[in-house]
Amino acid sequence: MLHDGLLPGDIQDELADLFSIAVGEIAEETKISDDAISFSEHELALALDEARKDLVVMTARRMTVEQDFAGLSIGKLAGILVFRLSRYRIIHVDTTLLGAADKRKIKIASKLQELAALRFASEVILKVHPQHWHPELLYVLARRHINQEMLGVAFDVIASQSELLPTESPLDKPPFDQFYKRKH
Amino acid sequence: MKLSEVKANRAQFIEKVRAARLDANTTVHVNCGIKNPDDVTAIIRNRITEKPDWEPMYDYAAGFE
Repeated sequence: MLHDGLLPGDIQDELADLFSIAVGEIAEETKISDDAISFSEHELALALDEARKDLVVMTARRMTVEQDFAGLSIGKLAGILVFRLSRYRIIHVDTTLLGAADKRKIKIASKLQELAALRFASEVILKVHPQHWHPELLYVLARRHINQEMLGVAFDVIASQSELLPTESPLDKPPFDQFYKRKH
Repeated sequence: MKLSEVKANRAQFIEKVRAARLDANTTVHVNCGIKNPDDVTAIIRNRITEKPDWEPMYDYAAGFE
């Protein structure tokens, strides 16, 4: 179906699950109680559907009149998803359950959604370790502003210049070598 | 075409616009690759086998309001 674009409903379901896994891993590593965290399924669904629309538009912009399409990059896919997953009100943390004295935990919890969006994109799509630029991206996402395309460019640079994580199927072999192009 | 030429021959003007549209190419060749939902599925199901250390990011997140 044309309007499903690159993100039909079944893929959105998988992405929702993977995003929740990223949230869970951060919670575990930072010792934020599961009970303190709640998801808005409604906002998550809206964010992913908005990402679907973004991808439809971005795809249309990259087509020729004859409908040739060279595809979108992994950076653009990651950029759109991180933007939408950090903008909707998906993750809610009850700070009364964190312990008032634990300032570190409270500060991390205040950026949990943006951290999860970055972690999700880095591990699920880009396959990279957190980079030197990630803190700046976290700050911009959480407290400043950036759009999908500029996030996409930043992620394209990160993906092409950074050491890639090992994966179940090698990224330098088909079909993955067409997505993970090295620029060394 | 000059405006005077457009006014004198609108059919020719539209013909030139049509030719320009067929010649247009906005494909971005530098960063590309993902063409369909199957590509997205392949990417997200190809799991990483080494867990990165996110502790420095947590330290950074704890460092600003």
